[in-house]
Amino acid sequence: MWPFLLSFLVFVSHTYGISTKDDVNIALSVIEGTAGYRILNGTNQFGAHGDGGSGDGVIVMVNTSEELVGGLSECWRSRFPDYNGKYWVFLPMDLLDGSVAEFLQNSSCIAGIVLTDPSRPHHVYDQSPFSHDSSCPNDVSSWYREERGSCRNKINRGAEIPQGLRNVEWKVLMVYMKDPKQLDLVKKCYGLFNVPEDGSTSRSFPLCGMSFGLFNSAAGNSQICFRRGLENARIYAFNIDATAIPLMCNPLAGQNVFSWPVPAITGSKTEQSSKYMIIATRLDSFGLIPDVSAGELSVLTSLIAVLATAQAIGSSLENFEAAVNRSSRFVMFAVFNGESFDYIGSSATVERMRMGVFPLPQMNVTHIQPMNLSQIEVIIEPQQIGSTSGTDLFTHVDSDRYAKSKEPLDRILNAMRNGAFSAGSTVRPVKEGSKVPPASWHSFARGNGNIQSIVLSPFDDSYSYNRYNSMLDQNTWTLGERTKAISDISAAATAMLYAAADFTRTNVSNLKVDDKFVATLFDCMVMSEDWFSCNFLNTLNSQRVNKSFESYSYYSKSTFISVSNGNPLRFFVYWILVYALGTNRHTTNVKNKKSCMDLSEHQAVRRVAQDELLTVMQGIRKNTAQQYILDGTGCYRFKLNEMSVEKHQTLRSPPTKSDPKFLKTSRRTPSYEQFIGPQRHKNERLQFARSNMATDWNKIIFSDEKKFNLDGPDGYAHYWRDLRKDPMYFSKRNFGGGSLMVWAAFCGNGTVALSFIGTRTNSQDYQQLLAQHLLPYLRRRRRANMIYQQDNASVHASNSTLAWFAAKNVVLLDWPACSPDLNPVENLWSVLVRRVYANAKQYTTVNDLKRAIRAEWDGLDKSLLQPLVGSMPNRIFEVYSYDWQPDPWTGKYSCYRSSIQLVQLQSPAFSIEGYDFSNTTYSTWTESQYSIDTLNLFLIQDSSFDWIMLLIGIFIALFSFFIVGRCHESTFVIDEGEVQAEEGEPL
Amino acid sequence: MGYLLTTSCYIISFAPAFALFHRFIVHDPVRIILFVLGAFFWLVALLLSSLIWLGLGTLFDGYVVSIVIGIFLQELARVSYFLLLKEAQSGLNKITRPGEVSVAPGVTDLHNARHMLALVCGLGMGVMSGLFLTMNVFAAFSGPGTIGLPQAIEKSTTDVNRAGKYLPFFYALSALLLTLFHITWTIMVWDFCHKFGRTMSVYIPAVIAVVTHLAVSIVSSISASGLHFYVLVVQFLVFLGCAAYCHVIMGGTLVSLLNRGKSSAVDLVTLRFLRNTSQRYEAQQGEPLQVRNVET
Repeated sequence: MWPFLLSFLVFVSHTYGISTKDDVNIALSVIEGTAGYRILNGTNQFGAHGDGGSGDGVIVMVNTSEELVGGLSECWRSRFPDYNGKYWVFLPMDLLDGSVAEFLQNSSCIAGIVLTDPSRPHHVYDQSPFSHDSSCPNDVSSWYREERGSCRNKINRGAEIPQGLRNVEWKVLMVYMKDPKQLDLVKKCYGLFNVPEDGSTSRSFPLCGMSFGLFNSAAGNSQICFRRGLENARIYAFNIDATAIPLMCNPLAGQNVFSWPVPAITGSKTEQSSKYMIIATRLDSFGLIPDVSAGELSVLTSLIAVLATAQAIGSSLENFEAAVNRSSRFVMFAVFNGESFDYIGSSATVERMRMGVFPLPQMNVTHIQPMNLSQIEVIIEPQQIGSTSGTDLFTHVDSDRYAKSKEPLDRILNAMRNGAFSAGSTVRPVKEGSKVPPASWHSFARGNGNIQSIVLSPFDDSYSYNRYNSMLDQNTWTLGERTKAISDISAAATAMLYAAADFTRTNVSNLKVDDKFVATLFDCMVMSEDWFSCNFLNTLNSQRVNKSFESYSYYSKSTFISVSNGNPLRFFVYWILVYALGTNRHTTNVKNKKSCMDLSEHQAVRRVAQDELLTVMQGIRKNTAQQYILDGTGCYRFKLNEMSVEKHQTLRSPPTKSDPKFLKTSRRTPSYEQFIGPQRHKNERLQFARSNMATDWNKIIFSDEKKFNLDGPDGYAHYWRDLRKDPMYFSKRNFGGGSLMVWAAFCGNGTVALSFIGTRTNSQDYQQLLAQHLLPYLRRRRRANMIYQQDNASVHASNSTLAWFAAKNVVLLDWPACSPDLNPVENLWSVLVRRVYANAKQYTTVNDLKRAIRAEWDGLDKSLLQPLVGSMPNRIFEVYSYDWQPDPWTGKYSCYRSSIQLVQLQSPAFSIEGYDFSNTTYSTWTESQYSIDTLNLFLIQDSSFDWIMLLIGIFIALFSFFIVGRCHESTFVIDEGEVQAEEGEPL
Repeated sequence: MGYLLTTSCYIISFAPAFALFHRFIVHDPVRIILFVLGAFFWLVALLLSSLIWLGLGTLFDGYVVSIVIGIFLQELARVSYFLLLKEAQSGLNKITRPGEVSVAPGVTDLHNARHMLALVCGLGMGVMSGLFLTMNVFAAFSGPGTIGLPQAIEKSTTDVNRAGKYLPFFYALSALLLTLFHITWTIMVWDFCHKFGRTMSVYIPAVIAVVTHLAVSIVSSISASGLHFYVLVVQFLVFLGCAAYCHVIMGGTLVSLLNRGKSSAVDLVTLRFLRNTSQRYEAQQGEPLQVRNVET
């Protein structure tokens, strides 16, 4: 069919030489994230976005501020005397400063601005003020309350205007164009049509123009947006995806990486007395167009310093481990995300600590000790490392807290001084009345009055770097500047290394920051254009994420928190930390990915990280099914089908954009409650874990029920259903043909019993079942003191059943609610299901199915069951994550064991019921969902003839009616003497 | 550029067609059906041409050949339409001839109406071809841009002929002419079909139709090199010739045509149609086959 239609259309256009859209427009793709969209906080909306008017205009390219201001003042009338419309101004981004901001905002002839790369290279010590942040960054969330709103300490001298260029509601749409091919095209069009020809100062039609538009769904502020989103949700209440509130804006939420060189393990005697040092840094910055933020000095150099510290500790981990275990003083590396938006990552972390669910937010897990705020002694954060030509480093502490408890901090400061000295740098002594500049510490300071801070930075009273949080935080590096920066980073890393060593009472003699590692990371992150062009990162990545034109953070170097697609930087940080702090000593016998994943599978740490990674990936890949189901026991379960797991493992690229007018959609993250169930469940699991650390799991009989379908397991065929349509079934037989309920029990020594039961059992049926199948088994092993495990389904936990157990002397295991993940029977089911439905087998009768299940059950042997039961201690105790990844230097794969977590955190403001968004305690930043038009280049023609055309049209219409009015039926019906027409005769 | 322009273009292109439709077709259900059928026949011809073009395209660049074949197919469609009508005539007679039991309200007798039917069917074809000629272009005019940038970028130079501000006007006029041309060609071809087999001279209208169709198409292909105006003038003159010839076919003479033109011009200048509408009404009453009364 299609070839026909196609040939048809091609012929039409060919034969008549008529033009189609292809002869009018040149479409340029706009990478998501390069167009300025609206961001909102609790009280205002900001961002470079249009006012929704027409997005057409003639292109003008501007090279100096004078040219811009001159042109704006007269709307380029002298150059384009015949044209009265608006203009798209191409502007190198370093011309957009505070002085022209006002002109741009007040001009009536701007359709939009296309920002291009700076007109001149910027070097790191360049003093020109181009920060898009405010002069007192993050003052609303500062610990120093008196500064809030009326910041006295204007620390960011680089701010172009006091509130920061980002915190302006531009009425002008801005787009960043980076692709040189696109720019060349625009330049050519501009040169051909818009530049006055020799000897002339003006140019007339046709003119080169362009159009682009962006529509934001949200307006006002975050609170308004949320309220409207909920109203919308009510309209769409019949939506099957109950969690899918049609939000108009998405809370900024980023992936944070936490890693422990030596984790504190629950149950050890030190649980209460352990102390923590946090070495923190941030993962995010922003620019005027938020995504366009390379963040070299705002983020990357300090991040490298922290990674280098971790690598130094990791390379002599045994010493460190020994010392830590002796002293019970632990170090945690924290890479927070969203810090430049009022500390999203750190405030959410503090909130979790306060709730007692940090580091593991959602499971039974007691394996890493829950950290609480009072255990944290000090937070060290490096900032803007490498931003001055000097070698001095300044330490910023909170002088009040310092005065209260001088000795421990002095000790650390001293160690840092020694460390910096050994690396050729000097740490200046703490100043009197020192205050902590904007840093993650502020979140912690609000949570606990004793946490000390050391911000390590090359600046003293105010920032030495004038492009902090800016689109221009990207430098051209000379060889000398590069060498200097690398040595600065090494010095800062060494200072932190010595501090960590001193804190944990480790001997520093074996510890050294690897300069090659620092230099490599510097080349890979700071010097390179994106994350995909250096060997080290490419080897580490090994095609897990790829460069893409679909999203700016996958296309170029961006450190924006990047809510919609996620920023790949977090993966690299995660992988580098796994490499730096992980070890493959314990896993030398693991030879492939699968075994490594198997090790990881039962690890709660790992599971958290993976589930959240999956959530992210699924937001990106819409075709994977993801849903929450309410299972039989009233618990939410996060349900994934086999396909999506596969997709995650072969993760390649960010979203696909088939529609030019695509909607930037948010990743839908489940709310805290949905994800982990009510607090009561968490506590139960915690209790369960604590009380069963010494349990002999071989004595437990695990039991569970499962439904088998004739056509295959539930969950193999997922699809999204529109409730307004009739359901479609993947199976020809509705509801899987027919089904069978199976109860099974097993223990470490072998299978106990399998029985087929009705789909609806009551307590009596259940007791009868147990009397038939369980009691004989228990009687035979009376001496073994077996314990029976069952989940808390209503039938199992009814008073009648419990009484029955008591009467029969069956000991029950206390089982936390909603914890199928803890039950090894679940794994047994999956083995059984796989075998029963091997080769996509379907069964025609229930009896066939019964026979098959029975046969497979009988075929299960002890070698399979023993490891399942053996995994029980792991399920609740294991501390480590196992990652199959290459060594970034050699490319050789191995299974790294590390204690690391990649967690997505959103600001507590969005989880607190009824939180007042005008309150500045927590970050309330959201970004609007938006859709973008295609960017089109075209020729603009004189439209003065349009009205004449209309007049001509009216005239022709009148004239035709006149002429036709002169004709009558008789004009065309002429009696030529033909005979009256009969059948078959002429007309 | 914009919706105003697009609207104006459509008004210019289809105003005469609409006037004809309003005057002769809209009141008669049978004519409406035949009008639509005409459009359909033209589409079928176009579909076949495109298939042939696709086939030829694999062999050689058969641009001119395809045009020629396309034109012949269109004329063939006219002939087949005529044959179809002839087949259907007995049935049509039953619902159109006055006095028949099954006569439908509003229809007019088909007796002696072959030129009228040619007008109706030709208009259907013309409107469809005019629409196909222009709709893409007019849609492009509705946006902010005009034609020409992709080509200019490719060739690094401006092709003024493809980007002038009068371009939409030329397009609209050529669509207007094409619509009217199809009426004249249909009258000519059907006259040939009707008189087929009588004398050798019956071939003349068919030949004239095909030749002018070819000529008009080929002339239009040079308009892209900046000759829009001249091409339109030539086409307009050819159209006047065709119209005059149709007048002759319908039993008139050049002299009578000139006389009618003269009287029309006089009436137009003296605004007779405004001055004395009642007279015009009477003239309508005097028409031999007026069936308005049947409607009421």
